[in-house]
Amino acid sequence: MHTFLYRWLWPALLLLLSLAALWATFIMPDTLVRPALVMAFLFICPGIALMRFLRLQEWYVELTLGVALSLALDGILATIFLYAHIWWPSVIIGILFAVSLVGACAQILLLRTPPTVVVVTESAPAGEV
Amino acid sequence: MEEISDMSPSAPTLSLEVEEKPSRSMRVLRAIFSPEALSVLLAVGAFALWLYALPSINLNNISDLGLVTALTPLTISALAIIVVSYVIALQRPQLRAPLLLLHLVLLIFMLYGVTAVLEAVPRFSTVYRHAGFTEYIMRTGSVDPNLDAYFSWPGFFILSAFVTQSAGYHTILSYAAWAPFAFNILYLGPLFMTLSSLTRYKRIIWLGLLLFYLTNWIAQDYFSPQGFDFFFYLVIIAMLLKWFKTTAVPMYAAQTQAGAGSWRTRLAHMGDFLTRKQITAVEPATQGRSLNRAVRSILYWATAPDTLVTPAPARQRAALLTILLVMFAFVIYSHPLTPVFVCVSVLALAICGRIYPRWLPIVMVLMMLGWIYFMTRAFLAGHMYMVVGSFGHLFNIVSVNVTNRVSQGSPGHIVIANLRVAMTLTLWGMAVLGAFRRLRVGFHDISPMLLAVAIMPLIVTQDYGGEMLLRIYLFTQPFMVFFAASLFYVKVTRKVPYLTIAALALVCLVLLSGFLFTRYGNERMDYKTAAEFAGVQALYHAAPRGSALVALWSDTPWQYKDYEQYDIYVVGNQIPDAVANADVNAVLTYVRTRYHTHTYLIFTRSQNASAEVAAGISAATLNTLETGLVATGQFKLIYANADAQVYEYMRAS
Repeated sequence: MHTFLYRWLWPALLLLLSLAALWATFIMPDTLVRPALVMAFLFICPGIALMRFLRLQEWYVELTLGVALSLALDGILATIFLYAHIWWPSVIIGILFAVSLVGACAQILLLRTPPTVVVVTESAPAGEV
Repeated sequence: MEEISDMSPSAPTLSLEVEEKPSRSMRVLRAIFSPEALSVLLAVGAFALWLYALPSINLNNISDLGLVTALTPLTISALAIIVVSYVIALQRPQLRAPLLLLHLVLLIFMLYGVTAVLEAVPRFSTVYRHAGFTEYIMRTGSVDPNLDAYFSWPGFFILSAFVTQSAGYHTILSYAAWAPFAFNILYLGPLFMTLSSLTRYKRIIWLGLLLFYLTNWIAQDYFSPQGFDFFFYLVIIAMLLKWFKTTAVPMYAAQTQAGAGSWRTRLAHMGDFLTRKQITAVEPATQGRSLNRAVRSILYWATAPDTLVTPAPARQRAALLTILLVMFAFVIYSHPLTPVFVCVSVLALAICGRIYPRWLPIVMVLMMLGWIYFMTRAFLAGHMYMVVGSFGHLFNIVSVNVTNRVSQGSPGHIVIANLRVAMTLTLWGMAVLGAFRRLRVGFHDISPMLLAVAIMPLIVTQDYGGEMLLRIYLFTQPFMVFFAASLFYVKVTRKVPYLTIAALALVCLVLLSGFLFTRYGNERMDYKTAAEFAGVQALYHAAPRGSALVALWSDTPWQYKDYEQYDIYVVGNQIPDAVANADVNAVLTYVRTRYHTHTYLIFTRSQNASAEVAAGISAATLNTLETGLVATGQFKLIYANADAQVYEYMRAS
């Protein structure tokens, strides 16, 4: 069950969120849920699509770094377009959609088993667990 | 239980007692009345109570002591209940992370989302200026460094313009009020990572998180580049502490590795020094002079390895380092000060051999200097004095950062300013005591100590508009709360003494009380009403582009659009004495000499509040000034409501 969830859960969420944001951006731009879907996509998907290939142990570490990487990638990509005098948010978000969708599919194909558990080594002084 | 009994006089027999399984209803009852269930009930119940009490809060009751004077006893009780519930949950023999997380998220919402729920429009006049930067980018698809300093570090505004347009909004004001809640939720992940890299004692980690949110009164987490970039600072430090700590080698081994002292050998070992993952542990001296023994003892302590190391394969570490540099690349052009704090912190860790690779701070500094040199010359050319003018003038810097804040303004504001100093000293005092306690037990907390003090010397470099000390407090806070939490928990125990629990609960309640005063102490001038903003919108509707927009005092929620189209003047920033003395002629001369085809004057509720709270100028003074100016017959009223009046200056032909 753990292996099944590891292989399918995150990619499924990424695909679902990416497609939902894609729908809200290009097909139904007046929908009320567009802000929530698009922001959730931008803050989570691009980074998680790449971060999972690092095969980190803890889910909260993966999520934290995934969100940070998402925000950085969003900002850097938007900056590149701005300084290239091509301020087209729809193109920028299109690239991020592509990254997320390709990343999610690649995860299904390549990340079949959870990473092996690595023991955190320490030489603790008395009293510290 | 097993007992052996005889069936025959000589042979033993076996009988087993089977323990009865509790019935299903009993199991359900146990689950409902379990300590965890009661804890969930307390947290959710406190949140429900807080929600129930919100509609009875009247923002007109806010005094110079801030939002707390408008909060009802029910609201404050709800906060106290959830804090105490958290403290109790922290004492359980086995900590339940989902339970503690539920408490924290609800507490963050109650502490940091309260203004977004209560107030109709975003607070802080600066948010409206940030809305103007973002609107400029959305409208023109470009940045103009000659327009404002922030356009030399436009990363955050470029990102917010992209997100705003993609989400279908026309302005950040549609969602900016939720920034404090959203940013503090963002901080949760890297804070947990950082604290988990400093100790495995879960009680310290979770208490540290609670203390962070109870002492984060700085309020830099509004919709701003510094609040956003603080998240990246936390992530970068968390990554370094988790995966890039050095391990120690004995000194004698390092000496033999160093080899002969030729310059070629030294050059070769410089490369090794920059990249190696190991530090040289100094062995304590047992003989020799006492000074020499003392120095070597300190060095032995300072070079002791961190106890928690998360191993990672080389490829994973390389990827993590790349991601770290990508994040830092965004930081260097998002805010002028945050990359400096990052570089100083990383440099301190690298110099003291706590992290590797040691070339990392060099690369970071080069990246930062590269942006400054190539992309901020327009700003630096005209503002060099602002950047370096206060360097070394510690007395002036302390005056701007501390003395002026605690001595100017209304009596209520002075109380708030002094409470802020007291909160700062309380947290730092707890941290010092906690650090000593850990030292006595034998912990080598070099990394958090370095991070807690490394950026403090920056106070002598720049006053940063009177906010340098505030920023230093914020960036050292994660490590201060680590030591402060250690004051209560040092050795791992299953059962915490009742005295410790009681003391901890009391301290947390005191900090909560302090938080409510210190965080929202300026609320009278910080919060904006819908009527005020309607007045500003009427001003922009009436004023043609190129007009001069004049306010008597600061804190007007303007510049939210067409940033480059209007010239903004604040009389109180130029001739504060004329405003304080209600000198109508001086103000009239000032307005007349703006020399624009169209000049508009706006009065708002928050201008009055700001003048009174921050400068001690009574609202009656500003009202007298307004009445006097109108009486000259040179101002035509074009819009008025309860909280804003807009006049057009009728320039004599």
